[in-house]
Amino acid sequence: MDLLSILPIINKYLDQFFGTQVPEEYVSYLKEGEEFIPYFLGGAALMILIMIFLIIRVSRKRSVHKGAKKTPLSEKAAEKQLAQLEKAHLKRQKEEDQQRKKAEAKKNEARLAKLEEEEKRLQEELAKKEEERRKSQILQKELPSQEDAPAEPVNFIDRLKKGMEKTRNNLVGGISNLVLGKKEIDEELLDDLEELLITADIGPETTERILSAITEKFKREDLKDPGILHEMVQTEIVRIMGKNYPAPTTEEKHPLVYLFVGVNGVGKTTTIGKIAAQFKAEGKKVLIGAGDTFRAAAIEQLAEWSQRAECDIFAKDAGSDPSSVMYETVQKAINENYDVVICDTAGRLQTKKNLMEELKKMIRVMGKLIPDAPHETYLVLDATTGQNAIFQVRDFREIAELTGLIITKLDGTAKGGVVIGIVNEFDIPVRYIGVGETVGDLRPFNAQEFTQSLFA
Amino acid sequence: MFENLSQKLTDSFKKLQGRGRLNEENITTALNEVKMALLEADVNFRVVKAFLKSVKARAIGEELQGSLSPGQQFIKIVNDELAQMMGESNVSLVSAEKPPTIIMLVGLQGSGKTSSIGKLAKFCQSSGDRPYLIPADIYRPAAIDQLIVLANTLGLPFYPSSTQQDPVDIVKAGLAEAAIQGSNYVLIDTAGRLHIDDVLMEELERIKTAVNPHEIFFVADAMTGQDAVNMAKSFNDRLDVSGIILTKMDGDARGGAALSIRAITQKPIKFITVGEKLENLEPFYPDRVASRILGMGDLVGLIEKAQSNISEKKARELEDKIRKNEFTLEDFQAQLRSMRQMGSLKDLMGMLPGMDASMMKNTDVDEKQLVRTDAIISSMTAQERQNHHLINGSRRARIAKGSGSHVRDVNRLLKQFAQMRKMMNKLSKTSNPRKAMQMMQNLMPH
Repeated sequence: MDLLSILPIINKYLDQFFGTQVPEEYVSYLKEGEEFIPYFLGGAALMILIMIFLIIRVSRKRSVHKGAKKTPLSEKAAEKQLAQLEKAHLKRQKEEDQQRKKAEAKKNEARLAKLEEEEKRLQEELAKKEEERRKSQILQKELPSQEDAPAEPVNFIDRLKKGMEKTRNNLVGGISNLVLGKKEIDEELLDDLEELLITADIGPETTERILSAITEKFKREDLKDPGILHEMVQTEIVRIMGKNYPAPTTEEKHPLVYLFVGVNGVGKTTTIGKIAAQFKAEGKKVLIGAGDTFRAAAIEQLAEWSQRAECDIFAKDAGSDPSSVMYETVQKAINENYDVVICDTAGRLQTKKNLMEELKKMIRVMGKLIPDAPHETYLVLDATTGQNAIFQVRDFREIAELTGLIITKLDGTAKGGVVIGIVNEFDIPVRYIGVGETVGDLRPFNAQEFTQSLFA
Repeated sequence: MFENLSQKLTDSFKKLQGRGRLNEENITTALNEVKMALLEADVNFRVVKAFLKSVKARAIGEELQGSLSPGQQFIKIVNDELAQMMGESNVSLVSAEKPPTIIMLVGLQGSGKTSSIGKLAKFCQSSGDRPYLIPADIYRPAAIDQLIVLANTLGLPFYPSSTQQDPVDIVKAGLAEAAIQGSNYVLIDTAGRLHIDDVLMEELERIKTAVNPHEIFFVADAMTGQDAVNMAKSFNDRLDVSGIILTKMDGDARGGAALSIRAITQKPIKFITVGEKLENLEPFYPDRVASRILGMGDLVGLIEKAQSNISEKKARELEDKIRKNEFTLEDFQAQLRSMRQMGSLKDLMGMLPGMDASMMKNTDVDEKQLVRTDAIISSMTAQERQNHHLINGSRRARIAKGSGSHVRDVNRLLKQFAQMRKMMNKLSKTSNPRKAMQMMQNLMPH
């Protein structure tokens, strides 16, 4: 724990808002590495307070707006109210009410006027800015830069669309087209390579790493031939992705317990259906645990899959505690001598603390029956997901010991390149890929194939 | 991994002191930082390039204003340009001249179409409309059931589709049924499909021709990466969608796909979904997503988080208490608890604008401290919590025993609490939330 590094931040806020800083004595506690440093909490709590003030301010502002908007309506309501009051002969109350309303209206009017004034001022400013902008645009048009050849569409969107076509051509042609006809490795070629890697969702950081490794090598070995580039990039990626980790077998673990986790909509249930069918085809006795008790009809969906795969399912009612489903599934598997147990879980965003805790509990209760269960925990990733996949792995890894990744939806145009950075950083192997709707479309991962498809 | 963009930009302008103009040379590094930030946020590569070009065009020649640092000024340009590209805010649902208004949702598998239908239905329902739901996903197991469960939860009529029917027939029959029911909105759920699946894309075209929907929403996952442009383009080319719903915005994806999709389709993003509950559908605000994509703190998000955990009434009570210097240990405990509900301290602090994320990077805050503090306060009697002056030596020993801590921990907590009260008193003397608000705004990137 390193609270010292966060100290400047707290100080900055304390200073901004209260003109004070964390007292020296507490700083020295921190420096001595004391474990319990409550002052830090004070700083955090103060920030919360600041937010509360903001909320009050914001909601007050909102109510002013509401008041302004609903004037005709509230007048109507007031009339109605007044009539009622007359009926009840509560004249005094009525007078008071009117007075209060008048004062309020006056106040609102004043506020409104102020707001209007402000708006007017802002509009004027905006008009001024707009004019300036137009002027600068005219200037730009008059002085076309070398980059902006007159033939190129000026419109941003046209430019983009034109670019998109180029991207697609690039991707279709792949990396070999990239180097075709090139005599040497130049800026442009590297630019195109960067685009190729980025559009495969490899991410700017990993892309930069790959590119700089390559340029380094080229410089050092004084290579000139762009043809080698192709090979080098692929070799590098295969090297990262090709790590091999043995998976436990039913001979070693019996029953072998699988747990599937992931965010919403990545295809956990579908993948489970396919994997169950594959195990079944291998002659294994398979039990599926319907751990998604939250999403509407998730249990029905899994039941349908279990029917197709001709294997058993353990399910409870929708809304029941998923941990109890897990426990009873594993219990049943032990009692009835199943070979493989596959547990489904509800999709959860990695930022939902409660749901992540729920997952933790599910794993804990399984461990009560079989100490090292779940033996395999797979995080299912959607190939269309971008850089957020890194966060998903990072956060799920904190809750569950991930033993493998499954990439689904690779049959589209998305490449799932983000896993390269993930495998590199977290050292978790990709176990399967999903490339279609049928059972056979869930395939064991092959680094060579995957790499080729990145550039296909 | 993501460092704070504002800090990086400020750094890249360090050399640029005082007055002058932004020029090609002095914005190169800054442009590169923006490029990295956008790519990290999953904005499509081509879109980023085109965007940088327009930022560059606008920034060059811009005179530096004394009131803003060059970095701030540059951020403002980037932010404005981004918000402008994101388009108009909060374009509401169309309503047909002759009801019912027909709305169809399309998208890839798992993007959240069925859940979004439920949320849209709730949205219509709460503004007094009468929606009718048609499940037309005959492929995914139990997809029809899923929509029916949602319809039943909302108490809404639906068409009892069967997987044996053709989706076009389902939709036609459903529409007729909706007319009988007198519904003024019809929401059609379609099966998820890949944009390159010709057969299924054609099916959508057939549905479109058959019922002529007033709105076709392309439902996209906020976590989508570079491929967002290809999907959006295909769906838009074939169906001419009328708007976009961005789902799963409650995660920590920066949502660069929003920019890509918007740029390629030029269609408005109408709604975002921010949770698993049926009421978690919100109108889209471009400026908020703009600063989220740039990764520059999300003050609005922070306020919303606070709002969902602390009621306004409670906040006001607290404000009063602080003003009167009546803030008790009990209040302190309540606050620590709501803070814990809002997420980890690190995440919360990361949302504050002006934070230097590089400082946060290596900070591993031990959340257990919050639990321990909570335990200590819980071991006090109600009286003690109301008045901490009561707590003498023997009480301290008892509290320490009760909470499994040491007397020195209790001492430190009490000491710190006294300090905090002092500070809060200071705050109440400033007693001007407007000033705090002003300061907060100054910390914002523009």
